[in-house]
Amino acid sequence: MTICVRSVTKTYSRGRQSITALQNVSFEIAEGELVLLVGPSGSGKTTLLNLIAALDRPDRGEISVGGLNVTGLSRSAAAAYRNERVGMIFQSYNLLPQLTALENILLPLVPAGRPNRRRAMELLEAVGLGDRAAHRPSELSGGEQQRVAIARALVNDPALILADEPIGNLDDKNARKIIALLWDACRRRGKTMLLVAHDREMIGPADRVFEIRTGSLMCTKQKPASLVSQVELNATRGMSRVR
Amino acid sequence: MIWAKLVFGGLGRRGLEAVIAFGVLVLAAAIVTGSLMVVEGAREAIARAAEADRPDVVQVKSRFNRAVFETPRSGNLPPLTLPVYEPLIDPAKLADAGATVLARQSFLRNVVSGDSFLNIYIFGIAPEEEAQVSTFVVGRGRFLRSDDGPVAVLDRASAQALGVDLGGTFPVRKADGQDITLTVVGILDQLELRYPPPRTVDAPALRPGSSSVTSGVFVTLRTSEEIFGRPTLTDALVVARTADNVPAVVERLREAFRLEPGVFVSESYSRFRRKVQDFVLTLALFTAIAAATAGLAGSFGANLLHDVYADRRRQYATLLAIGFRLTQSAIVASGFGLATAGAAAVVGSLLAVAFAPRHFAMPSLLAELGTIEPSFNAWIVAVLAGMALAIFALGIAPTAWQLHRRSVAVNLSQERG
Repeated sequence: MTICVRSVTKTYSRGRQSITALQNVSFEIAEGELVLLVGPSGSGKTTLLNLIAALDRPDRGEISVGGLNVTGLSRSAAAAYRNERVGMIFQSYNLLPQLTALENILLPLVPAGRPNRRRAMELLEAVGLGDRAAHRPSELSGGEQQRVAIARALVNDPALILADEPIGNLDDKNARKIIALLWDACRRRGKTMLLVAHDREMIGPADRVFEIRTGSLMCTKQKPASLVSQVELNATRGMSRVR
Repeated sequence: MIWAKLVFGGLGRRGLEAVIAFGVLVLAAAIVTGSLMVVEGAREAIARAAEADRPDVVQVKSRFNRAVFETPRSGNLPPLTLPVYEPLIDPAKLADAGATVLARQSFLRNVVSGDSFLNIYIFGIAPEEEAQVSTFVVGRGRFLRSDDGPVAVLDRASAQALGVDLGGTFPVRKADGQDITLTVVGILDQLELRYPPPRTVDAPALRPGSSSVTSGVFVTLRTSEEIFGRPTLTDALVVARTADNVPAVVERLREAFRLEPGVFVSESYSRFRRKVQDFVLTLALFTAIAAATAGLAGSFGANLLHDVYADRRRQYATLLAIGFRLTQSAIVASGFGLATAGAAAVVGSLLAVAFAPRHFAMPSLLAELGTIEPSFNAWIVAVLAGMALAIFALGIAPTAWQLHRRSVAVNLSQERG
């Protein structure tokens, strides 16, 4: 599923102060591509994911995902789009406290009325929590909640995965397991993936690395190194078209 | 199961507030229900009194009707040799009242039966209209119809005195000296004439000793005009649209008949109002109690619900974020408030119905309406449903507004507020 972001600007008001989270950001991501989004805190990474997931609307610009203009969707259409096409891994997990781990994973299947417990259980085991299915989020550690959130994002088999620091709270062993899971989803199942990370621990498997600084997008690429200069050149024009 | 958990789970530290809100709403619903049951019982008592007293009926009567028509044909003087006083009620003037008019002609005639004669009260009435204010219980045969010819319906006592039965006939002398033969089509077992004329001569009576006429022969106005020889009325009843319209109707009638001192307009509305005034004040007190309880306890309960909703706002935003449709999220959100307020209303009303006294004595100085029976009816159900909906709406409105006004991302990123 391709993502096309064109001249997107997003500003927040905080009291009398106006904060520009994204400034004239443009890029394209091809289907099946794994893109890493890096940058310091408050640089606009989460805002960009929210806009692509139609959780928010840009002040200017247009975002299309798989040919669908997500900036013009109604609330109901946006909900349907998220449910059918997007798997979102939130930085703060956003698990519902009254549901067990298994039920939290099943939740995206509920709107369509087809909760598949077997599929949810498989994912729970894939993230190493097969024995914690009946536990509520309050009974899980931060890392375990993170893994439940990852399994929830994958349960609908979405074409697009948006992950906001998916391994930020994981130890090395579990981080590698989750990286492998996401890598497998992207490479073997052809999913498009946009991952936010503070550092560059996932830079290895990424096809491209976008860096955001104070709302502006810089595009870098480590492999192959020869493309880096071209990417940076395009980024300064506000558009990256590197393949 | 997931749906139930989504609706009722995740209350966290607000669970206690939800329980308190439920308790407060149960108490409020019980008080409101109890008060309204008393109000409804009292309203029914007043309605029964109004049905009996009919304060909406105004009487218009002529001074001379008794003098003319109660002269029996006895002794040596035939009735037409006495001075004739024309009754003064012109039917056209009654129309000025702007209300329903029940015209009447009532007079006394000697009816010759075999070798004797009998005093009989004869009433010319509009059958359908008169039956709405007076009580006619037909024992045999049928009641009058407006298109009837020379037929009569009479009470059991009069029939026995005249020696006639269903299908029988008897003669009545007309104003022109000729007799008209009336055929009996119905016998009344019971008769309660609204505003009956005073009983001044000996005549058959269903209730012996009564000061008013309790029996008589009923014919259509057309027949009575033929007997009487005049279209003018001896009396009439004017029925206002509502009892509260009576003063205006009376004023218009008095204006219409201001030049005719022989016509009197009287009403029972003022007396009825005085009679039930303190009853009505007590009703207002109970209504105020119900309204104040609904207002105070309802707003307190709504505030507690609001706290619960504010804490759950992020959950609703999460549901939207992972693809729950607006309607599905609304069901989850509204299910909790509706169930809480609705269940409280049901439990409170059941408690009130179970423990309310079967009889309640309203403190009243003048009204002799007896004890009232508190009653539960659809109107109370509607009030309770409205109260529950209002509390739910007040509780959820700020959260719903925040969810609507802000984007899902903003709602997800914020704690309560």
